[in-house]
Amino acid sequence: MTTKDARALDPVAAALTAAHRALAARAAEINDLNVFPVADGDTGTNMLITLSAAAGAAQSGGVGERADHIARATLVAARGNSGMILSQLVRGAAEALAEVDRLDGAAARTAFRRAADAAYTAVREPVEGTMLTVARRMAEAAERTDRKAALTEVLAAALGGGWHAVEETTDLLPVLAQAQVVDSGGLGLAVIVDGIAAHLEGREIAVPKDTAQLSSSANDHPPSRFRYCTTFVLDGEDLDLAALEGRLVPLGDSLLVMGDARQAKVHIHTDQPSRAVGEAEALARVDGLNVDDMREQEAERSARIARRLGVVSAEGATAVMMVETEQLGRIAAGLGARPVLDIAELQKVIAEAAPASTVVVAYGDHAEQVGAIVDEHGSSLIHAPSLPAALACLVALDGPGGRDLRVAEMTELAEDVAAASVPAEVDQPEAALKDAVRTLLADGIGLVTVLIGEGVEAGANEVEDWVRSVAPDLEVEAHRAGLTRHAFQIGAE
Amino acid sequence: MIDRTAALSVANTAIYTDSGADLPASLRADNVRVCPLTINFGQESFKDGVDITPEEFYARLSTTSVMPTTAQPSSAELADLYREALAEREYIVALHLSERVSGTAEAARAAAREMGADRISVIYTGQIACGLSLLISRVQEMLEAGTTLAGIEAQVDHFRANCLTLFTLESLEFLQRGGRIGRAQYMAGSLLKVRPILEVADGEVSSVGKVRGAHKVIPALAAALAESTPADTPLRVAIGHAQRPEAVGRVAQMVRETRPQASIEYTFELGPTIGTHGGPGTVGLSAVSLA
Repeated sequence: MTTKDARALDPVAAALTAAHRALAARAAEINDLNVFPVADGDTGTNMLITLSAAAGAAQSGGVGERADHIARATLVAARGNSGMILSQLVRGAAEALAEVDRLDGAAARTAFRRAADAAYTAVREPVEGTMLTVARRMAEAAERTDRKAALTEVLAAALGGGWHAVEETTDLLPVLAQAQVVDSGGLGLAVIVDGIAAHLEGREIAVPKDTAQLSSSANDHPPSRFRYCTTFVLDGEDLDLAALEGRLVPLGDSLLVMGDARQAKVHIHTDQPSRAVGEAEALARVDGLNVDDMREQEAERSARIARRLGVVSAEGATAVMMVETEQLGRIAAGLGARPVLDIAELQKVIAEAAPASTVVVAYGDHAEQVGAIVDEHGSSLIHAPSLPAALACLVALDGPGGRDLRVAEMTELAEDVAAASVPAEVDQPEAALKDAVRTLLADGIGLVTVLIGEGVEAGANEVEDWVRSVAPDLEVEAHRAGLTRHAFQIGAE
Repeated sequence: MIDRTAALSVANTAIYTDSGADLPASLRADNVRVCPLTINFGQESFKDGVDITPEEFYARLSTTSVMPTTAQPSSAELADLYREALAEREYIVALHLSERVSGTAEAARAAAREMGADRISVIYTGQIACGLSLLISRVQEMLEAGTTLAGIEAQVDHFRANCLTLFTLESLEFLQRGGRIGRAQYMAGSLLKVRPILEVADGEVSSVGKVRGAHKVIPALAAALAESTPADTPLRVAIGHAQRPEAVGRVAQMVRETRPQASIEYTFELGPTIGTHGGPGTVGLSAVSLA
C-alpha cells in the first residue's frame, strides 16, 4: 500500500504514517543526543525502525484483531531500549483505541493513559527523566483537559505536557545533565506526538529544532558497562517470561522482556550474547537475533559529534592540499584530501572548515603563503619538504586519535620521504630519471613513486620499467601528473 | 536446541562449520565436518574443497575474465548434511562464518529449525577464516575434555570480544565487488596504490589504517597486534594467506617479535570462499588470548 497520501488511510494508519514521517525528519539529531542508558547513538534509528513496523502493520492489518496485529508487529521489530518502550506505548494506545467507537478527545485521553501505563508496567526498573516520564506527563496533561475537549485539543495538551517534560529530563537524570542534553527517547516521543497532532491539524511539525542542540559536553558520559546490545524474538506455546527473565538477569543490564505467552521480545546489554541466546533457546525458539557492538557505536557517535562541533578530540582529520594540476588533485583526492588549485580557492575552502579538525598540507613555492592563511584560521599546517612527501603523508589522514595525533603521524611520514626531481627542460628524460633515482636508493627504501610531467612522452608503464632497471627490488609506481616545470618528481620511502 | 547442561564430548558431538573457516587439515577430526560454500564462475559452479582446490581456484582466477562469486548452502543442503552427521553422533554444534558476512549461519538455523531437532545448536560466531579456525580448534579441545553447550557458548562470546583478526589485501577490488567491504568502503578509489590494513570487528570488515608500499605492511600489522592484544598472557595465533606462502614466514616472525609469548598454532592457505572476497595476496592472522 502506498503511503503517499496519509489522509487516504484509515485514521490510525494515517496518524502512524504521519508520526513516522515526522520522526524520520529528526532521527539523525535524536541519534546524536543519545547518552542514556548507553551513548550508542542509535535512539532515533531504533525508534524509526520500530515505528515503521507499527505504521506498516496499521496499513496492512484486517479489522478484527487489529490492535493485536499492530502490537505484535511493533514488538517483533523493536530495536534498542527506546524501541522496546515505544512498542509498549504503541500497544497500550492501540488496545485503548480498539475499544472505542469514535476517535475523539476522550479516546485520546484513554490512549495516552493506557500507553504510559503499558510502558511503565513492561519495564523492570523504570527510570525517570526518560521517555517514560515524557509518556506519563503526556497522559497527565491529556487528563487535565476539559471532558468535552476535542481530539486536537487533547493532543495539543498532551504535546504541551510532553514537551515540557522533555526539557525537564536534563535535570531529572544526572547523565543527561552532565552531557547537557535532553533525553533522546523523550524527544523522539514528543516528535512522534507532534507528527500526529500536526497531521490532524493540518499544520507543519512544530517541535523546535534547538532542543536537539549539542555542546562539547555531549561526549561526556560514562562508557557502556556491557559491550553488546542484543535483541531477539522468542516464539513458543507457553512462554514463561518470568523464568526467562530470571535466566537473563545475571548476564547483563538494560534487560527488557516484553510480550506474552506466545511471543516475546528480549533486549539485553551483555558481554555474552551467545549465552543469552542459549539461555533463551533452552525455553523456546529464538529468531531475529541482532547483536550490536555498543563500544563501536559509542565511538562512531562521539566522532560524529566531534566532527560536527569541530572539537579537537575528533577521530581523524580533514585535509586540504593545494596542488598545481588537476591530475595531482585527483591523486590527492583518492587519498582523502580536498584538493584546491589556487590561493583563492584555498581561502574559500578554509573559511568553511572547522579549524580544530582541519589539516592543510603545503609544499614548494606556495608553502609560506599557505602557512600565513592557515595561521590566521587556526587549523594545522604540515609543511612537506616535497610534493611526493606531501602526497605520501596523506596515507595517515585516517586513523585513531584526534587531529594532533594525525598531524604528528603525517609529519613523520612526510619527513621519511626522500625526494628528487628532473626539470622539464631535460634532453634525455630516461637517463636523467635513472640518475635521480640512483641518488635516492638507500637502506630501508621499499617504494619509489614517480610523478610524470606534461612534456614527457613515455607512458607510466614505460617509466616504471626505467626505474625498475636501476632499482630491481623495489615497488615502483608512476602516474602522469601534468607537471609543467618538471619532467619528473620522484619520492622514495 | 541441545540441553545446555548435557555432557558433550568428541564421541557424541559433531562440530559443523563451512569452507569459510579454511580449516587446516590437522583440525579435520572425525567429528569435525565442513560444509562447502558454492563458488560460481559465471555459469559454472564448484563446491569449495569438493570439486575445486585452492590451486585450481587461483589458477582459474588468474586466467578468467569472469569474476567468481560465492553462494551459501541452502537450508535443505545443510539439513541433509546435518542428518548424516546425526546418524553417527547425538549432537551437532554448528559454528559457521560470521552472520554479518554470510547467510550460511542463517540457513543453518533454518535447517536446524526445520529438523525440529533438540540435537543441533547453531551459534553465531562473528568469526571469519583464521578466527573461525581458532575457535573450532578451541571448541574441539573442550569436547575432548568434556564440556556443555553453555560452556561452548561462553567460549564463542569470549572469542567475539577477544579474538583479533587482522589482514591486508593487495587490492580492494575483490572485497568491494563482493559487497563485503563494510566500513572500509572509503579506501577504494585511490589512484596511488594503497595497502589497506583491515580487521574483522563485530563480525564484519573494518579499517585499521592504510600504508603505501609492501614493506610497510608488516610494521603496520605489528603495531595493530601490539595495540589490541595483551602483552603478558599466552596468545594463540593462526596465519592465513592466499597465494603468498612467502609472506607467512614474515608474519610469523613479526608475531614472535611483537608477542614473544604467542604460539603459532596453524598456518594455512585461504581457499576459494575467502579468496573470492579477498583476492590473491590476502594475508592475515588471528590472535586470541584464552586467559
